[in-house]
Amino acid sequence: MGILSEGQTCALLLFALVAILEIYFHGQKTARHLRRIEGVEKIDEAIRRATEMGRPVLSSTGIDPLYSTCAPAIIANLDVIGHLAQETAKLGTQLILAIGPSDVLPLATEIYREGCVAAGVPEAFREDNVRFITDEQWPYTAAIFGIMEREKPAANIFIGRYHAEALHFGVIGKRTGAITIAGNTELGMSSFFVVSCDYTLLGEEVYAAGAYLSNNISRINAISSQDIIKWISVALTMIGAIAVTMGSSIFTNILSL
Amino acid sequence: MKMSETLKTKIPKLIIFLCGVLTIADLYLNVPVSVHNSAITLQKIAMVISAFSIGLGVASILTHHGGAIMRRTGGWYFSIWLLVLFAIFAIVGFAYGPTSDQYMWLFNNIFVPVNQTMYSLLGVFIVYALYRTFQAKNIEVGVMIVVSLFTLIGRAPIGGYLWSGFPAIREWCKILNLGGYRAFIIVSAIGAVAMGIRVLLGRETSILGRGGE
Repeated sequence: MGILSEGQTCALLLFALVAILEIYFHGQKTARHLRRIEGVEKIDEAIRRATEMGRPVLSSTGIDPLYSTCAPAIIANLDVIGHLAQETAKLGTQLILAIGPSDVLPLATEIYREGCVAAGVPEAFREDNVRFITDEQWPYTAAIFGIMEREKPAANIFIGRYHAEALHFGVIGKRTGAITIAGNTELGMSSFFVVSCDYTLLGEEVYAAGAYLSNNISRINAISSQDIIKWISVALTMIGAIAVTMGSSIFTNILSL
Repeated sequence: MKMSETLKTKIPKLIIFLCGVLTIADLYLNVPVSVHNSAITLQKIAMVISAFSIGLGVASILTHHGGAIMRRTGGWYFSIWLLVLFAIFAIVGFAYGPTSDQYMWLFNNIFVPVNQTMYSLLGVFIVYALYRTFQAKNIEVGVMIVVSLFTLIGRAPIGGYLWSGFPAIREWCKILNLGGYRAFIIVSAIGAVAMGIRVLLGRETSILGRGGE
């Protein structure tokens, strides 16, 4: 019995490669090029629009709990919530956080509070605006509908992992005249956001949103390592496709080690 | 000040790192049973801590809706309805248990129909989204319309009756779809792994609040 678990060697190598690249790029002092993510860039514009209209900004984290496999998506969203809290506090706009799972509630509350403090407007934090709903899918959807219809937020930011409720949010957001910016890590439901929202983040863009908004060189450099891994994946996919087409299974055998 | 910084950032980062390393080691390496059991215990602890937070959620609901009723804000009567149902479900649940006939009667006659109503709205919204999407005039939408038409005709019995090529084209469209699907899965996984590593190394400080930066 070796030291490595069976079938996990390549996954561990990929993991180690991402870690090495993260550490290497994080230490660089000059900013690396990061491709434009339009959806993320529009977040500040949506906040300014809400301020001009005198209407609140709504954000949510989805219904999946923090201890599930979608934890990275929730953490990415919390990063965006920190930015939203800071920007809305500076502009004097209300931020409403509709939280589905209870374990995200204390984190979101603290991040909202600290965002307001970081903006120099601690009094902008209103505990009443961080609302626990439920992690049951349709009651959660109904509650967000209610907030959208009654309080008419001018900007809806939904980043994380959303299921069939994604389409409901996009459609109702359009009905209430809000800009809806959404990012989903759930592939099957991403199409719902794509067809119904104004701007959509896809795949790894969701995880890069917080760093992109932070303008912090180290963090931006670190996420640029994702692009390198992506190109390596493209190369591996092409080599694998050619090898399999030519009848060789060596490549697939290596990857399944 | 230094003590505060240690408590606020350094200790949580250390805990995150140790928990992360233990869980990753358990996944990728053939670790001793004691390490494996520690990783399992850690996951159970996470679930228990998560369950505790439900109390916070209940407090949030009571505070928010109680406040809405007191201040008579828009839709305050819905808050009364919510709190009444909340109380009924809680009393019946505590008195008879969540699997009792009484609780199940409430669940099946209140929760299930309302839940199904929300779900059924999806049908309407899909048509609405389709209509809105097809209003746009660009190449992407053009491609989508063509693929949608072939999928619709290929799936309908009349498609195969008119020309046997329609179901075949629909099948081929699946191959195109699969390519995009896999690309999405790969980049999402890369993003998730990179995010996990950033958290593990203490470089993703959002979960520690702005003070973590």
